Amino acid sequence: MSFRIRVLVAFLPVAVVPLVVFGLGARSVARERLTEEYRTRVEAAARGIRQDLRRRGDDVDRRLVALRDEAVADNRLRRALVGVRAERPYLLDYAGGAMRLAGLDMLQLQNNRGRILSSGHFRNEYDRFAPGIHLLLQVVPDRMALVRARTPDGSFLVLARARTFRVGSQTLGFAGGMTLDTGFVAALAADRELRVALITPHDTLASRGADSTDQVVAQVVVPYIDEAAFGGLAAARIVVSHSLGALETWRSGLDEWFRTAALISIAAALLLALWVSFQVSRPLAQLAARTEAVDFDRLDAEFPIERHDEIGALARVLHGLMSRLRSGTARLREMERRATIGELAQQVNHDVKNGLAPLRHFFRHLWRVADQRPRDLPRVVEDRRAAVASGLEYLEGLAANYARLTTAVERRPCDVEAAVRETLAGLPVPEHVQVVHHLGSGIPAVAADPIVLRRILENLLRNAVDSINGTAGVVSVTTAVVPGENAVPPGVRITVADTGKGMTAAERDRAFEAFYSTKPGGTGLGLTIVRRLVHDLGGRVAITPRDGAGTAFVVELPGSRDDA
Amino acid sequence: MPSSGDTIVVAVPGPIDPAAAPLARSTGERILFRQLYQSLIELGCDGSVRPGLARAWHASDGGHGWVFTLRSDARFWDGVPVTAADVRASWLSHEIAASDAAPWAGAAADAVTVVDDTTLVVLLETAASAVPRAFADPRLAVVKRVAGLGASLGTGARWLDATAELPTAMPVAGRSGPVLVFTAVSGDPRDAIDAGADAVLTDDPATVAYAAGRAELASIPLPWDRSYVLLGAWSGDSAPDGAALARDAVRVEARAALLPEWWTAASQCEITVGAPMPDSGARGPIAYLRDDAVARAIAERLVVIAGDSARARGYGATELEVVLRRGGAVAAVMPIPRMVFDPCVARRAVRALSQSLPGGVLPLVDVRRRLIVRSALSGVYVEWDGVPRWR
Repeated sequence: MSFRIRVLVAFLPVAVVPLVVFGLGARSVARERLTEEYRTRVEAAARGIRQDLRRRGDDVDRRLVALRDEAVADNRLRRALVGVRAERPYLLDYAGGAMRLAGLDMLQLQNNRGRILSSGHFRNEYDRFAPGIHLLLQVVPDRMALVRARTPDGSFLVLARARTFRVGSQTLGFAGGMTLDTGFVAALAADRELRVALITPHDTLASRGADSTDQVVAQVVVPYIDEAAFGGLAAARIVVSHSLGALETWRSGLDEWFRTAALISIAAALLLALWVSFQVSRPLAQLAARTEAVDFDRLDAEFPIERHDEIGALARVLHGLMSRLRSGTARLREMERRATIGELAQQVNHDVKNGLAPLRHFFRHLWRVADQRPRDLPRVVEDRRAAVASGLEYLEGLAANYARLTTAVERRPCDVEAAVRETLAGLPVPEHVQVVHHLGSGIPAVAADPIVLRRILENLLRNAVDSINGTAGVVSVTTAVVPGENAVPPGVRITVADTGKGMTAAERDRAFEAFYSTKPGGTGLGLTIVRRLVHDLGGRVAITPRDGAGTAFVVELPGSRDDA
Repeated sequence: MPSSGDTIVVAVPGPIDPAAAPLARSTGERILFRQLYQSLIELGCDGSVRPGLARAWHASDGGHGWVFTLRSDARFWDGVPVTAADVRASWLSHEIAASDAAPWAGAAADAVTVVDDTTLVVLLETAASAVPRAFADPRLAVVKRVAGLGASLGTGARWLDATAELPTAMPVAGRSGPVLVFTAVSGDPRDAIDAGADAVLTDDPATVAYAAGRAELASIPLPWDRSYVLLGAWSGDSAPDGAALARDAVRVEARAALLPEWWTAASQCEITVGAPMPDSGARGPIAYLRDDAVARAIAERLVVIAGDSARARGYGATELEVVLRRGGAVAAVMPIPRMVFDPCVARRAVRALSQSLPGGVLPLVDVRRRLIVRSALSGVYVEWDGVPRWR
């Protein structure tokens, strides 16, 4: 995860978490406050409904009292009650007239056995037994109840009160009431946020349709009598609930603003994070890019050290590091130059010594012949002329190579067998060492400089002879064909093996390092020169431990595309 | 509207629309139209047949055809002689349905043939040995429609003054008698009396009692003209007591019902009625005509007698017919006329109403109206079916 993304991720919670905490807290506080306020309003409404019912009941009762007084004073009613037949129609119509006069919606006149003597709202229900109303007259507290009164085609709900009175020897009762309908219930819910529902076992009247958010509830319980289908005294409930719609609306508004604020905060956080990360990562990226461009050949990188922040501190560190690197590199180059000159001198020394060795050997042999067999001197000189010429030619080629001061090798078809033979001819071999060669047939020419090929062979053979220290041993040279592939012509594998002391694995790993030698007085350059020359010819060299004792150096050189 | 001179103000149950003639829809229209229009024959107070527009008639084709000869002096109010073609056109114009009042079967265009100006033949489906009384039905009165005139022309002894504010029946030229001004009673009939009406037709007991207390008013009981019956099944334990209903439940002058004679006489009629509607099956309340206070009172009392689950409900006339045909009521409290022109026609009408109701016809109460008139008033008489007329 990049530094920039980490900064972005870090900024998001910083921007959103406080908003979330604020939003949740605000919602919780608002809910508590509003719910409490709603509860207060609902309870106040319930108290108002109780008072309203009481007031309406008292109003009905006052009318019943007036009707009672009139009834007691009514002689025709009195005659009807004592059975005067001619007054029976008067009795039957009495409640109707009284009901209309009193402004009631329901009125019954009952005797003390619950039988209807006259009914205002249902004229022809006379003589019917009405136990519900009788119950109201007898046992209901305050003689006030919600009564579902029967009509010919159904029923209707009234808030009823009852009054008893005596006419002669009869105890009579008036039960009267006023209609409770949806309008009445709606009037109870003056606040449109309130829902008032009158719930009876028969049905429900509500000021408005139920709302899924109606929650805060208070209720008023009122005795209920279903006179239309008498089932005893029951309870009706006037339930007041408050819609939490306003709260939900407030919440929705808060949520909307919260979402908007969150989006804005997130956007601002992202922009700020981008800016911060850009401010931080850009100089870092520049430092990285400049540091990445640093090489031994490019030590000119500059770092902005003028900043006074952490980036500036880092730049100054890199600047100092760069300065030290530049001075170190200069010293290193000087050392390398010196080392290269020294190596070159050593190499020249080594090569010259190798070229002079056959000449020294020739002259020693010549001096010995001159001392011992002077007459043979001309013959000996003649016999060794070719060798001497070859040695001189080697030295001349060597000198020419160094004169050019280049590592580029002149490559031409070169006979490996001839190079092996010439090298072996000039190789000083102690008496305890036997040198043998196994030159394969059909060995192709390799693309090489003959002097270079000879230098390779001389170095390998001298090392092999030197490895046989004091005891009898054998040095062998073997050539073989390396099959070509596709367009690559066949090459030559030259193996120089000895039966000497051999090399450990550690010695083999370091064998090609410059100045590394296991021989007393060795320069440690022979194998280094061999590897470099082989590589210059496009070949490769490897050391193979031999079974038993000794070491084998295997050189593979690419074949020439032209015949030698 | 106090009367003056030869003008008599008649207050009747409304509404009154002269344009509806001759098909009366209310008691008021029924009384008004009786003053204005004539049928081919008329019935005397004893129910005997007497000439109307037709001076003579006789049977043909074994009683399947009846030949009527019009009076030569029969005139419309505009003086134009009444022809047999006018009679046929009149019957065609208001399209008396065969099941309603007409004695013939099918369309009048097929049943009525004009022979000449004064002769027409009416073919009956069932042979009649005597001239059918249905030809006296006011619904078969002869009228002539005139474009632009509010009411049809008639042939009676009074003509309708269409220009008057209230329906006014004027004596035709050459005839004497008072001018009759008809007004519909709305609200308390006593208000009509106090406003100067000379005759008030009412069944309101308070009005009757009020008139009894005023010496200048006379209360003439009209014949028991309606019987209220329960059509359909009765669910109570015992049949309703008609006398009790008449005494306590019904607030008009009533008595325990006696089925009219024609009901028994019509038991032999071949009655075919339309099939009930597909979803018929009696259920629901006891139905009654919403505007009929007597039927409502009876139905409400029946609800009390039948028990807590019973209900009663009032309907308009058309709505009630549909409800009954669909079986939307378990029973119906309906009035049937006690005097009819044709028992079979009347029986068919009742049967059509009650065909989807289970059970039969239970007579409940008979009722009648009274005609409250000023004592000094003369010339009023009551026809055989209880309709008052003025000479």
